[in-house]
Amino acid sequence: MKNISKKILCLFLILFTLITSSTSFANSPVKFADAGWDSIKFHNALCGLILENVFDYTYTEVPGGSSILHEGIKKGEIQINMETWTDNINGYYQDLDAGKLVELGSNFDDNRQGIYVPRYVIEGDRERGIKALAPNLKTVEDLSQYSHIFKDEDDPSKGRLLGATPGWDVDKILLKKYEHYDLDKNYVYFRSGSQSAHDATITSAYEKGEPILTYYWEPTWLMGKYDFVLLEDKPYEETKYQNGETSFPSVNVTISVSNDFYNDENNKDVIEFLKLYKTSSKLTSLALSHMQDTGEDYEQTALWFISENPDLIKSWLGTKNYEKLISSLNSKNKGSNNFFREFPFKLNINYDNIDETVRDFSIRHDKFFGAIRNGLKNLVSLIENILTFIPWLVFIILVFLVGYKSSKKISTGLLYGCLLLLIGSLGLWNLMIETLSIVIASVVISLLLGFPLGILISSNELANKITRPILDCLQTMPVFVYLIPALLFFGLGKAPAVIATTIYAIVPIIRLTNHGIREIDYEIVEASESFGASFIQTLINVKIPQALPTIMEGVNQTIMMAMSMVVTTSMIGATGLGMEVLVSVNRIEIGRGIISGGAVVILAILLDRMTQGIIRKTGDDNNG
Amino acid sequence: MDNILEVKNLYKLYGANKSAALKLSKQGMTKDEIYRKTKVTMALNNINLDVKKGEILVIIGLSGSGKSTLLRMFNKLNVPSSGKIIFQDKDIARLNKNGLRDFRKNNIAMVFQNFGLMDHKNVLKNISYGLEIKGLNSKLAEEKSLAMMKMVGLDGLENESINSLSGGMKQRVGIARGLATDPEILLMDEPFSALDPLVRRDMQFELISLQENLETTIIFITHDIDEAFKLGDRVAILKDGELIQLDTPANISKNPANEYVEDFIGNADKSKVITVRDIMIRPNSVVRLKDSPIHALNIMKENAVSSAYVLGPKLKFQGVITLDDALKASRLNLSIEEVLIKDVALADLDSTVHEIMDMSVESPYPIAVIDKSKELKGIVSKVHILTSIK
Repeated sequence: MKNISKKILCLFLILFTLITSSTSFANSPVKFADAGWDSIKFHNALCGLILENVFDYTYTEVPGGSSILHEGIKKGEIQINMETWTDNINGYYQDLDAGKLVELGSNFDDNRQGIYVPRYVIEGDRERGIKALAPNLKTVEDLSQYSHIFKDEDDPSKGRLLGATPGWDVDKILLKKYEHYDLDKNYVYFRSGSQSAHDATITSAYEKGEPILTYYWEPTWLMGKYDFVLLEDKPYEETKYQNGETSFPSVNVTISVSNDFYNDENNKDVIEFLKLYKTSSKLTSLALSHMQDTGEDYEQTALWFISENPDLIKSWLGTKNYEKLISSLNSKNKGSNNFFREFPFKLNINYDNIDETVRDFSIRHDKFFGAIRNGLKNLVSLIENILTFIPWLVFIILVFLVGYKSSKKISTGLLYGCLLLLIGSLGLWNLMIETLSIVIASVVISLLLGFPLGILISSNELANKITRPILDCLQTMPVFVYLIPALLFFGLGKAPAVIATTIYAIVPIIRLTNHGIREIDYEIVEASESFGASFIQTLINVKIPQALPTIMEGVNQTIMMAMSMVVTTSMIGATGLGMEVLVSVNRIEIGRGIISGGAVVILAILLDRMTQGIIRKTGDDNNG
Repeated sequence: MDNILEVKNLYKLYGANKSAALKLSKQGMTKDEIYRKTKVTMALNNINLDVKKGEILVIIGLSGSGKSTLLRMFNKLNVPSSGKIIFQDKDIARLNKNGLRDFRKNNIAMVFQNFGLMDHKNVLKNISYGLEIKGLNSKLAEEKSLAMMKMVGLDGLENESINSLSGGMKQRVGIARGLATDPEILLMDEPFSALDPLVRRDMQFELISLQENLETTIIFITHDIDEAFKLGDRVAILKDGELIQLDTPANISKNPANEYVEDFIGNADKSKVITVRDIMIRPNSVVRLKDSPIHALNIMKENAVSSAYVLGPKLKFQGVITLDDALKASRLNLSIEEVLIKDVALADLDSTVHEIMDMSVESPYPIAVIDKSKELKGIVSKVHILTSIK
């Protein structure tokens, strides 16, 4: 047996060397900025395909937020940004004037952005049985009459305006517009936290036929797929626009490249090509809806685009290079794939079906999820009310006392109190309370569900076998994956944040409760049973007290996991310290990031040390 | 004596195909053959024994012999694969949940090898645990537990934490906890094997005296043959899941059932099995308290010894008179009583040779053996002791 496996290993090694040595490593690939939305990925694919087939480059995409990618271009770590939304990037024009990057002309400039509502809100939709709720809604100004239609989930007395992703430049202008039109009186300006959360919210509202009021822009697949109406605004005037008084101008979406890339002689031809590269909002939207309809990927869509628009491509490349592109693409299509180097099979999984199923499910059981959402919301606001009710000084004194009692050192208590004082004096007190209320709500739910579950799986092998892989999944699944279903089922805001946090933070309390109980010296359990104690009696008198130190460790871990979700959940609109961090990341504001991030760290450390102190105390009580 | 427990055709099997293995066993197939055929291990193979009311039954065997398995079946911590354990006309193996709980609450208790104490409760709370489970109100439970603590020598330690106690003290807590519920049967699973030898000897002694007062039936597991012979009214020897011999220590010493038992008890210290009764001789040099010193001198001269044993009314042992003292008394005209040495080494009829060994070395004259009514039954000299354990 051993010999055979050795031989196989040798064979593989030889094969591997052959394959790798026969591969010629080309120059390092060109890096495209991937800001995450569809149109930029489409343009990356199109441009990348041409670079590969005409100019013999390879390319990759670097994902990130638009501000981060802009920094990447400035530093030369990313070479090409196919969609530089010039007006939306903080400090773009200063950077351009300072010569930190090069603009190669416009990709498209006929885009639109502004405040949208679904068409059925104005006109109704007979097929879907939706009544026109706001037949006279035409302009942004009209909105003040319709706040009752776009009800805010957290504050039903007001309407909700879904703003831009925090950190985008347009976010500031929207806020001014919101104030300019006096929408602040009866609307909440709600940030969804991230693009995907924003999209999911719009999608789920549209599928349910609910009214929604949102900032959005074109070209996007979403605006291509759904029928939305852009609310009218005063005509664009450059000076007044910055104050939010007029409609948005079309943003000049340019192609920008890094200085290094621009100045490299070898890239001359590519630079020439990129200067000529120009599409339009309409062409891009067409490509995106083709992609949405056929389920093709970006590269396939780019191929389709090339075949559909030969003249356009020719105008970018010239006839000679165009023919090179076509022949290169054709030869690639004919040439057989290298069986060993490219995976020969592909299962065609239709992601849309999964999306649709989940969405349908969320629509069908909206009432059920709505009830949970309300319950969670009330729980969070209850905790928040209690925390706000406590004067800050009392709060600090309480933390001091807990620190002092658990460590028996005055200095520790003082340190804890001072750290909390620091958060307050940085002006983050209210944000901290918001964050804390979400964390506490999640921890309470995690403990209420996790502790009994831990007990169950500690005493039932079958339950243990079923639960273990689920827990493994919960723990290793990237946390972002939880956000989308949480969002679809529970909307934006604190309720889904609590759900997502709970899913993530419940694992340690289950695991450590189970582990703690299983670790007990079994003789003690048998001793209890030998006196005729029932399962419950043994559980309460022996198992739980004996496992308590481990269980408390689980409580501590659960709290820490919940804290670590604070920033993540701000991406689905949970306000608090996490949102501050998110905004500063999106805007590359180092100072703000350090301060708000520091506050998160302080809060986490305080929670950790105080629970650890309590754990030590229970441990001491057990032994002393 | 009445039987308190009757074990009938008890089996414990581990493996998938138990019923087939059971059938083969009843056809008389050996353990090894059965294992080869069915892959079923026979942890206990057709055990039959009675436990007598008030006795200490010691079950002894090497590890893997099934002794713990057997013990744990008496309170159904292990469930028999087949067979019956009868207690008061009920089969323990077939008790339902509530029946079993009642049985455990009222009739049986257990002491564990590693004590099985709850270190999150103090000493008193540990001892009263069984009483609380039984449903006694906490005041009564506390009173009872305090009494138990006194009995096992733990008084004053009620508020101590378990972890602050030594091993011996911990096991006292274990024993007190077991006895607190007034069980008819106390199961002890190698209770002293985690203790060091000196503490173990004390605990053994205390257990015997405790049991004499309480008359609880004790089933005691050990792998130490000395401990078994010292504690056991009867000893059951298990080997590979089978009961090899069940008898009193003396009978086992005299008539080992087979070579295995012989080897097994070969390791045993004979001095711990042989009692004074077996080796004592009738003393000839005996005088009465009211006799004259001259008479005592004559008796000593007749027997060529330098001391005489002095008896009072009803043959009660009073002390020893030596040759020197007798001479002195006759010279000064004193009575025997006035020169009598009362501080004399004494042995009980049932003391083992081992127990009197140290005494005999220190004592200047042979040890007097008396019975419960202090009647002199015989004497044991160093020579007798040495020849008995040769």
